[in-house]
Amino acid sequence: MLSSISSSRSNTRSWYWSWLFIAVICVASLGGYEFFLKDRGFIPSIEQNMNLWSWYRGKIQNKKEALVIVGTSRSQLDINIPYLKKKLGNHDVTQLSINGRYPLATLKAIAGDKNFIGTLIVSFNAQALETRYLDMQGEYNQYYADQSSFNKSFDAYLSAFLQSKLRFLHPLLGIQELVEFYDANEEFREVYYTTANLDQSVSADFTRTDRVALLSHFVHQKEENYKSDPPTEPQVWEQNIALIQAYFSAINNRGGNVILVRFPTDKGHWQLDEKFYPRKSYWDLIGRKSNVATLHFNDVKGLNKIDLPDSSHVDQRNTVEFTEILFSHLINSGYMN
Amino acid sequence: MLFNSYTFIMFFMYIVLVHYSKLPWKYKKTNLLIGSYIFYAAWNPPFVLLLFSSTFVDWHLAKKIFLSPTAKSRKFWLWLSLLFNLGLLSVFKYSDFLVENFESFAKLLGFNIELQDPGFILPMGISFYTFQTLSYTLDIYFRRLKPHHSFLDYALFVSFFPQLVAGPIVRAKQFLPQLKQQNHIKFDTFSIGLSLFIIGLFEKVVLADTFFAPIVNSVFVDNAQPDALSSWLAAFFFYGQIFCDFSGYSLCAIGTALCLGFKLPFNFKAPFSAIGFSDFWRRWHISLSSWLRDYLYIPLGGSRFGSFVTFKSLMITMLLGGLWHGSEWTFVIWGGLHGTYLVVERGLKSFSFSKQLADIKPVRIILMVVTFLLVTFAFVIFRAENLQQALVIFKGMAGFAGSQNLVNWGLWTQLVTATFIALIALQWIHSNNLITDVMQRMSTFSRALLLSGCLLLIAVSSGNSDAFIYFQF
Repeated sequence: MLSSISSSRSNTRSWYWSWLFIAVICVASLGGYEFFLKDRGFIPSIEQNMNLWSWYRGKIQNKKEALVIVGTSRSQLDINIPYLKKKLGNHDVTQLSINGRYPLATLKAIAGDKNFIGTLIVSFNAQALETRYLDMQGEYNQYYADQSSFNKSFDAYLSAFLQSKLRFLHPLLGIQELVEFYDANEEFREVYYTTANLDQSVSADFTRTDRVALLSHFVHQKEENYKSDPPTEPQVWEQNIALIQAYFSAINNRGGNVILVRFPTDKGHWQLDEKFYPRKSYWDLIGRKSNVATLHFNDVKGLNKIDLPDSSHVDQRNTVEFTEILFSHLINSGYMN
Repeated sequence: MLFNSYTFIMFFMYIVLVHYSKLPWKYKKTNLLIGSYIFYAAWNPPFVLLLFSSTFVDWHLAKKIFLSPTAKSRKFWLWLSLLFNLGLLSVFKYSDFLVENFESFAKLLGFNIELQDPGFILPMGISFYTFQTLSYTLDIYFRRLKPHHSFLDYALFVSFFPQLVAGPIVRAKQFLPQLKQQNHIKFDTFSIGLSLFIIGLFEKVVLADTFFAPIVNSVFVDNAQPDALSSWLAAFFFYGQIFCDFSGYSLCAIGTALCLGFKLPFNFKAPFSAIGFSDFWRRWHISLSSWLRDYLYIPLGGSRFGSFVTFKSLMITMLLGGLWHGSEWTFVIWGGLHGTYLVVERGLKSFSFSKQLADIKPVRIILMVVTFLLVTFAFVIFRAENLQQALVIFKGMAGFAGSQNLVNWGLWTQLVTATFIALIALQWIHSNNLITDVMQRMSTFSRALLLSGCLLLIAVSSGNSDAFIYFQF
């Protein structure tokens, strides 16, 4: 057991002073550090993880007005969620896109969720329908189904909320990251060009990075990806359309709505997409065969004119314009209200 | 609910608010009981039924034992309690292990039997609260305790949230008297409780998760062939990690309980400074080692019936103690290794010169280093996914394994190493002091500096908020 804890007036006074010093030291240190980071241009950013994703995933059920965006980094970076919420006052917008993972597994899970009756915007392209890419978001959906809990999700949300307000909680500014960065570069970490927001969207400020190098990296990476992972025979690929048709029907039959959107690529990236998955043979086939609305960026006036600095993503300064054009078109075309 | 979570902070603030209100003591205790069940339900709500049934059954069986007129019927009710509690553990914790080993054994005998995988979820903290309720029935059987009059108090003793899922394992006679009436909680007591919580959180979030775990995890991976430096660092840092993880949890538990006016037993006392293995087990997971001593080692004969019985009792106790940690052979071997250490130590102590030697300071230092190294070796087996992996690390430590440099000897690793050495030095200096005594003796400003340092490092540590290692036991 604990040894006795002495208590005297001087002891109590000493503890009062201790707590006062602690408060002063902590507030001054963290406040100073926060100002230092602000001065260097840092913006608060959150850590995206399965618990936070589960928090948002749990909020899309039983709402006719739910508007859910699933996809990869394009739908995460290109759509401005605060603006969209303002524009569509009658919708409850939720961002469920996951960076670097095609969304078929999430589409499947939402199709299987009888409580989803809202509108689903799917950032989609032909490669996503290759069998090897179908389960890329499976881990997140499995976690949501089997391991998530209110407690864990709520805690992740609280944590993300604080990270969205305080720079020193930035995931890239952990003590280990800072020491290792200093060891490698002999300077304090530089500001990263993307910022993850509380609503799970991401903002990119391409003025904070070497645009030329980034563009070359992205296009080269895509080329390597297509070379190492070439398209399967169109006949084999086509079989998977039946798979997603079943998902679309499940959602449509209970009053929901699905819209497939081909987000823009440019500057060599689009040419690669066209070379390996020609629109006529792939995208247009989906359009003809699927029972849902499809929208290709090249068919929307203005959408293909927005600059994509890295060939694939919109700069944060242009996301309002992008969101306005895309959703005005969707509404005007009668795809959603 | 994890101590290192924002939800816990909100939950605890609510508990403190009610606890310091003017409500009658009975309502406050009810609030603590409901709060404890919510704390447990936050992990997996249906499992509160298991916690309640364990509480309910042992409460009634303990009464039966006490009221039994004959030794035979007392024994019957005790066996029923043992059967129920160990049955729960067997089903939820060991069924996979038993099935797997039964199949292997049958195969050895030439039978090809394949049983269905039971696939039970391991209820968080089951080993802890089962041992806690068992100690109650055992104490009543051994006539050390009378059944408590209040079921509410007893249920709170079993489920009290600070120690519910990872200890310290509290005995009824330590805790139930504290429920009689509310103690006036002085500001000093609350302050020490809060300090212990902060230091515990620092051990967990900063030292265990941010400093040690990433390096350990980079070496203990499948198919790795670590070189000597990587192997040694991983072995040492795992000792550091598990100490900081578990001692951190214990300090958080003791601290939160103290803020509410309850005193829980200390679970760790500078184990890095242990001289010999009996000393190590007086310093490491004290509430478990004393439980095993009182309810297993001594009933098995202890040291009362000569060397053979002593050695046998030690080995059985340590093997079962190892198995308590998990349904893997690595845990059994870890327990067996510690049993062997203890048996050898006992044997050596029986020589007359050993006492004189142990009083010489340089010899004591050598013994301390040897103990530290042998405990580190044993923890390699504890951490390894399987025996093959442990063997690879041992070979790496001996310089015979592969050449993979899995730990970059950069500034970060040097900083972690320096922290580990400082941790050892601190424990050697304060080998006989409790942290509460150290806190009380510190000056106002140095105490403020220490706690501020802990809080600031917690704030800037972005280590994953992993669950505590001992939750899985």
